[in-house]
This record gives sequence, C-alpha cells and structure tokens, in this order.
Amino acid sequence: MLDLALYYILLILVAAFFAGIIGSMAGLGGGVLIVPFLTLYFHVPISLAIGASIISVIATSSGSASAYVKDKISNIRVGTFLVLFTTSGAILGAFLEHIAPTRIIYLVFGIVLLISVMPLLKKFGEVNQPSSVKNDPIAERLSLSSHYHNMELGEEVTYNVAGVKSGSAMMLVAGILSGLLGIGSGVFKVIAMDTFMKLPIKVSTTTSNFMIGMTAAASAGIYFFNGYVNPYIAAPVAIGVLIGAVVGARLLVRTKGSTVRLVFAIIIVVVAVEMLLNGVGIRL
Amino acid sequence: MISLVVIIIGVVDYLATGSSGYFTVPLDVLFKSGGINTNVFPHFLGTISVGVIKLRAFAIIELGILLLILSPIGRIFLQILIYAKERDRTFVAIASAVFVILLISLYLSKYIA
Repeated sequence: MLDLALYYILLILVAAFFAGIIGSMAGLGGGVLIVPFLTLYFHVPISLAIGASIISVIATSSGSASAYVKDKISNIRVGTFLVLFTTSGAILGAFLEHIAPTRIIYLVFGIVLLISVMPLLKKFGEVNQPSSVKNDPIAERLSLSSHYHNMELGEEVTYNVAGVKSGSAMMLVAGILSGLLGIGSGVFKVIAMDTFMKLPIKVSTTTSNFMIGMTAAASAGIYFFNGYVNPYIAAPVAIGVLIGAVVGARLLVRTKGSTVRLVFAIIIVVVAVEMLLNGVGIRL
Repeated sequence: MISLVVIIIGVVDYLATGSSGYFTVPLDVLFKSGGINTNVFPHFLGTISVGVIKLRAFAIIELGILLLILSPIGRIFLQILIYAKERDRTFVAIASAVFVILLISLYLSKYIA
C-alpha cells in the first residue's frame, strides 16, 4: 500500500517543484499553479488542492519573511493597516469556497490567472512620480507616508500615500481571492498599492510579501480544521513548492531579458484556459 | 522554519515506519469521497496531540502544518509589541484588530463547513 502512496507522493513533489519554478520565474508566487496542477493532472478534489496550496503559500512567504525586515523598503505601517482588509476578505473567501459550486471556482481561477499574467506583458509603475502624489487624509492621520533608499537612483525617495479607500477595497478583493482559491494573490495586492495608492513599485512588492503570509493564515486555519489539509498532499506540495520557488528565484536573477518570462507567462495562459474549459465542463 | 523541520520529521517517520499511524485508504477512494475522512489523518488539537505523543507520522506532519499556520499570527503579535514600545496607540489598535481577526478565523472554522 505504501509503495503506491509513495509513488503518488513523489509525483506530487515533482509537480509542486515545477509549479514553484514556473510560478516564481513568471514573477508570480510559487503557489499559483498548485491548484491547477493538482486538480487538472492529479484529479485531486478542488477543496483538498486549495487546502494544500494555501499551506504552500505560507511556507514560501515565511521563507522570504526575514527579507522584508532587513530590506527597509517595505512599508510595515501600510502593510499592517491593509492586512486588516485582506484577512477579513480571506475569511469571506474561504466561506465562499465552501458554498460556491466547483464550476464557479474553476472559472474564477482561470480568470484570476489571466489577470495575473497581464502585468508581465505591460510593466507596472514606470510612470510613478512619487513627488507628485498627494497624501490621502487617512494616510495623513495614520502617518503612512515614508521614504526608502532607491538603489538605481542612489538616493532617498520620499513618497506619499493616495487612494487609501479604493486601495483598501481592492485589498478586500485580494483577500477574498486568496481565501477562495488558495493563492497568495500578490498581484492583486500590488495592483492595490501601485495603481490605487500610488506607492513606488519596489515598496508595493515588498509590502505585499509582508502581507501574504498573514492573509493566507486567515483562511488556512479554516481549511485545516475542516480537514482539507491532507498530509498526503500538503506535505509534498509545501516542500516541493518551497524548493521550486527558491530555485526559480535564483534562475530569475541570472536570466536577463523578458523572453524567458514570456515563455512562462504563456504556460500560465494555457493552464488558465484549461481551468476555464473545466469550468464550463470541457475536460481535456 | 521550526514548522518545516517538524513536517520533514513527520515525512521521515512515515517513510521509516511505513505507516501513517492512521487508517490507510487508497487515495482514489479518498478523493471520490470528497477527500474528507477523519480516520485517515487528525486535524483537531486533541487528536493531533494524542497522535504526536504516540509518534504517529501524520499527526507530526499536521502539527508542523499547524505551526506553519500559526507563525504569521505570531508575527502580527510581535508587531503589536513593537508598536506598544513606540507608544503608537493607533497602530497597537490596528495590529490588535488583525490579531483578533486571525484568532476569529481559527474559531470560525468550526462553523464554516
């Protein structure tokens, strides 16, 4: 009995490893492809796949956890404030996962994957002019504005924080998607901070890293205590994704040029289409 | 990091003893039943702690995963202390609210599903 289970666990470990590499090479989290891989190719029930995936999101985010303390770029005040909305959303998302028909989850997943690869085609934050952003009254009251050391310019950049309300609303959406789909939803957090709150892109991405673990923890407890975190799947997934994400990040530093990223983006688009087809009842 | 070590210990235990410490159900049967079968692995505090004392592999893995889930909650608790030290009342309140939301999520899990 163990032999067969062992073979299966090994396969999941390898699949999770590749999911981690592709996810991180495409500039998304390592966890975005876990649920598609497990459901499409291993026929794992979607709730079980999501339960395993959300654990891997915490595992990969705590791997980079020590990074945001040292980097001095992430805005912990902004992160702490916004995590209010992502964690609330994540609880709502986990609840929705329980009541929503499986078909809908497949469809939402496909759409979210497609939205997530869009930033790869069009770069974020190139027109960010920190000096021209006016502070939101809420940001003023919470003293959210800050400064960071910009390596490329070699100088301190002081920035304000705009659109706190719309940014918070977007964070609620990011939280719901995280809880519903078992993903880190880092792309949506970055959209909230970069596009709505006009934060410098470096600050947005590092602050998003700070928030992902807490957001994931909010729904992970719900999946865990309901028995959706099965050791057979969750253990190889967590270990595989973690190693894959680390390897992917290393490779990403070495590979210059956007063609590589484009290849990975195309893989994600293919997976997204497959999820959408599954949502409308077509199994390839 | 401790949590990952515990998970790996559990996996090693599973491979070494050849037993999860729980009923073995073929995975395809498990998947067809929707994946929920309480006899296959523990997922409550009581059953996990009993299993860990008896060194059952899957109980150890689940303990590691539980520690992993708790680590971001510990992180926000740390943040509350940092803001308290800075005497920043507003942010003590905000970080505490996040902490409470995360605790509520653990409590609510009983009622969802």
